[in-house]
Amino acid sequence: MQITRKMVGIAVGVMTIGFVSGCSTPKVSSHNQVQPDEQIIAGGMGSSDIRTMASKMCPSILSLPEVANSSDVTRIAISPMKNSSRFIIDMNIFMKKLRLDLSRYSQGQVRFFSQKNGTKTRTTLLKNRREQLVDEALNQLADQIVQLPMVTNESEPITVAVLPVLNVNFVNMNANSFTAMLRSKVAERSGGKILFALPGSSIKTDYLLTGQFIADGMKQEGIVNLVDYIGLMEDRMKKGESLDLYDQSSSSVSGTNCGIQVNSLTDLGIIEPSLFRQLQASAGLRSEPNVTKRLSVMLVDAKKELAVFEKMIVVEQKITDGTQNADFVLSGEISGLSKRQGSQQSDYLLMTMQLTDPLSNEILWEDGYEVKRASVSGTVYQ
Amino acid sequence: MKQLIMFFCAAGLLLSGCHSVYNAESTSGKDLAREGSAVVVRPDRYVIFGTRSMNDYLEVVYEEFLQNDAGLATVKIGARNKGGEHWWNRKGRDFTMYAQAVFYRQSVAGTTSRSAPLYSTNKQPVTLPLGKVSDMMFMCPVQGAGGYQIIFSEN
Repeated sequence: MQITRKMVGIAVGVMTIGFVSGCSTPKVSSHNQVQPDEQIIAGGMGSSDIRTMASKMCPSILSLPEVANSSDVTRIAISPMKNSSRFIIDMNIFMKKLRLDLSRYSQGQVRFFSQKNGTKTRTTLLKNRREQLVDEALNQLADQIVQLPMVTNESEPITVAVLPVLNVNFVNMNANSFTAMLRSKVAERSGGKILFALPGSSIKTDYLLTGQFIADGMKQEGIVNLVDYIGLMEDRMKKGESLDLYDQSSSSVSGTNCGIQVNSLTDLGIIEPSLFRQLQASAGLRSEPNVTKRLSVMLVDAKKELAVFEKMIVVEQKITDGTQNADFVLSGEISGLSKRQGSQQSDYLLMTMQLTDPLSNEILWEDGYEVKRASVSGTVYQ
Repeated sequence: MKQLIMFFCAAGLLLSGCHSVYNAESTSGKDLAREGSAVVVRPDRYVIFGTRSMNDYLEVVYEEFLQNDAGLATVKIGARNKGGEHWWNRKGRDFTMYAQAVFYRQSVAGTTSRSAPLYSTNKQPVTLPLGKVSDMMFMCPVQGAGGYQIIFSEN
């Protein structure tokens, strides 16, 4: 009987504990997953701060009249965040979270530029497309040349000599390939009305097909007078010399004797072989510059030395990240005030974000998020 | 008696593994209707003596729901740590809680059914020193929010 009472007592006790423990939240997760809002380690900024900051600032930006009332999409360029705190943090994470929220909730009203991601693939893709565009442009150009009055009105075929395209920049570009392609397309379309002289031939022709290859925005560039250039090439052809402007073996390439008026580095490159070699060896000049490259094709009357036809085509468009079309620039900074006494330390962190008009440099919107954290051991971000 | 208890224990263990899935319990409409626009999540555990629930210390001083010029819903809420009001704890304590705003298309207060939320903020940490009012503001970046619920929790 006593044993039974004892057991009933134990059972009641177990049930009471069961009831009390039943009030607690069951621990469901057993694989160490925690919510991103949980601050497990004290000190510094955490994932919760990043999420809170984005949660506050995203609707704030979307509420701006310049964004909310704009009939067009708002394009934002992101400027790397500045870190003035003592913590070594991956600063991109703040912008990424804010960009993510803005992209997610603006429903396409706010757009960003892919400023670093996928650059290599994009460049390859654009280069592949570019070849197609150049081919189309050369086709159009060939059609236009064939339709010129001096070609259609003449009863006899006109003769044309192709002069090397003047490459006004010291860039590693084979501009002559474009004129070779153009020559081939013109010859195809003309139906025998345009006859081309053999390259390097000294035969007297009616016209000269040449041009200038221009690279926009290059620092190392020189301008050569076209008429003088044609004269030089004719002179070389007569002498049976190389048509390469930078060929040092040709006697006519000797400063003012050749009649070319050149300036700055081009001038120095021709006159000073050592400097020319130095320029050739320069990595910056050997690599393909990311600038817009144009080809100005000219059909020149050989007797009058006057261009009777000129057309400029874009051979290569500068590959940009698109930020020139940005309406606003989003930038930010984390500033910190840290104190330490013995093992205890505290950090006051202020994170500010700004939206700036790139043209007026006016700060359109600014917001901040501040937090103060205390800890007893150092915080290391990895 | 001993054998009987052992039998029930063994039977209970066996029966508990009879089904692989169970129906998830639905919240009753009555329970939902009781919920207001600001709710406090039950504490992570109860103690036999005293309380750990911050609901005993928390009071909502003001609550505003408005739409800004861009048509985005905004909730402003002030929560005060009023301190201890029990015989076993008259002083109260400072505490940190989390506040999360969930926005809905329609008001949820007093309704027996609920639609999926339009947007919910993260759980934002709020420090409440004794006697202080913490002013919070939550904005919904998605247009069309007509209702909300603020959820206060300890973690």
